[in-house]
Amino acid sequence: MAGKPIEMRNKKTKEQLENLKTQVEETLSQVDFVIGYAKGYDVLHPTPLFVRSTKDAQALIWDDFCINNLATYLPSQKRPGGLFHPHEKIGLVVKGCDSRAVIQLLQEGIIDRENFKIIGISCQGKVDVKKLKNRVPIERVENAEIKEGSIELTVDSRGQKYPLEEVLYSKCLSCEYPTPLIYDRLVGGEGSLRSKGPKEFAQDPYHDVEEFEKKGVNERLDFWEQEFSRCLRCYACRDICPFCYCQFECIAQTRIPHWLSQKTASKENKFFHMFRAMHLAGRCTECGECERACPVDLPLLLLHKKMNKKVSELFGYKSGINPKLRPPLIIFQPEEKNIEEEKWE
Amino acid sequence: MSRGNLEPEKEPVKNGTPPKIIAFLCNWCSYVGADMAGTTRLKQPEGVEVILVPCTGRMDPLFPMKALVEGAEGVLVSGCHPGECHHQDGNLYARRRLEVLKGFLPFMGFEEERFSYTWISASEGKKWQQVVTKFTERIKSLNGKKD
Repeated sequence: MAGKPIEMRNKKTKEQLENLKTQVEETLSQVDFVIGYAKGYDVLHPTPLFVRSTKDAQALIWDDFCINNLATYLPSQKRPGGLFHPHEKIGLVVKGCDSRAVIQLLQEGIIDRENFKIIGISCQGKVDVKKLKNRVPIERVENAEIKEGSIELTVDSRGQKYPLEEVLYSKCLSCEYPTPLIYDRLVGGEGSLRSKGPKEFAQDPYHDVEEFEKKGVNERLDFWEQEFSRCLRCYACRDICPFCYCQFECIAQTRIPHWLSQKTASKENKFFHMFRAMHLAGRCTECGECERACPVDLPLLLLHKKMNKKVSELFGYKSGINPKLRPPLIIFQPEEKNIEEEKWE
Repeated sequence: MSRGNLEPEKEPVKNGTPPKIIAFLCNWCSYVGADMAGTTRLKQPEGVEVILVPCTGRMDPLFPMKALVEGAEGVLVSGCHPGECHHQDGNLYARRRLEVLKGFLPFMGFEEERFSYTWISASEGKKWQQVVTKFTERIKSLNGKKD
């Protein structure tokens, strides 16, 4: 495994943090607060930080675990009774994948470009704590550092080592946009795993969808039946999603119309996740926050990736790339060249 | 098709109960077409529940989804031919949405034959009969495979 890019990676992350702090401090003069990352309850779980002063900015961190998609906060800006005072100006630290969510929200007219500033930060892939969970007791991890293509964890004062490609987020392994697509200020130049990192990391983004499609129809039915029987319907997936901004009007909970009962049986759970996938068709930017937030580890991204794959096959559209395009399901072509209708003869 | 007094003669049920099929028909064309099939006494399969929609543009992809999850064995949507929508372009929106749904259902473990959509105009009673007969046969053979 190529060692050099990874060593550079560590050094670069530290440089990026210094740069980030300066950029945040400078942005503070233009906005009311900046949302970034701070140390959470342990080294593996950074938490969002609201920076309102230069003093706060010293608590900012940037490491291999800063995964939260902070764009989730943005729809709150225009919403009455939202998290913020109406029309408070926001600064936001976004990674490449998060920037797609910002673009998608702009495209949907949910946020106004003049109301927020974006501090883009190039990302080299983040470590998936759920993948670590299968290997070590994560609540006892004291320190985590990336060295020479592997992650070194200190658990109960003893060192443990795992190859990086085993513990990085799947989305990072197929990352196409390590540098944000939209920003006012940019921290760090190129940071792609694909261009700078070992090539064998790179994966096809839809390889898992294609694999799943190869299974028989009954096998697929049983798989989802089993998975959704575990769902608690806590709605964490919905609440963390940047595009699930319907709030109390979400049809999962409305009584008029009453789409869905509150029963947490497999059937109801299945319908909930199916309609959520339908509502996110061609909108989801595959940030994977739903999967990360899920307390029972449902493979939710698989659903949304399938939808996006279908939408891109039919309409050649990819979400969160161009704020000027219109979502494919609210427009049409008189002649659809990729839709082949059934003939019935 | 149970509306109207001129119900076609019922075929005796042979292999157990007929499959549960939900058909969403557009008010301006397919519903009238299906009605015409009834009034001209064309023989149609049993077990098809028709739901009237004001336009296929009203078709939320969640309707067929909900029907299938709740136990319908097949869902058929029919509207005006593209370009002939009573509301100008409802069916063109519907085509995109239903096509996405059609691609998604097999992924969730529903056979792809269980959902389909088609275009039938008000004068095509004969076509409705053919489509609905074919669709029912398809669902029957699917069910046969399962048992």
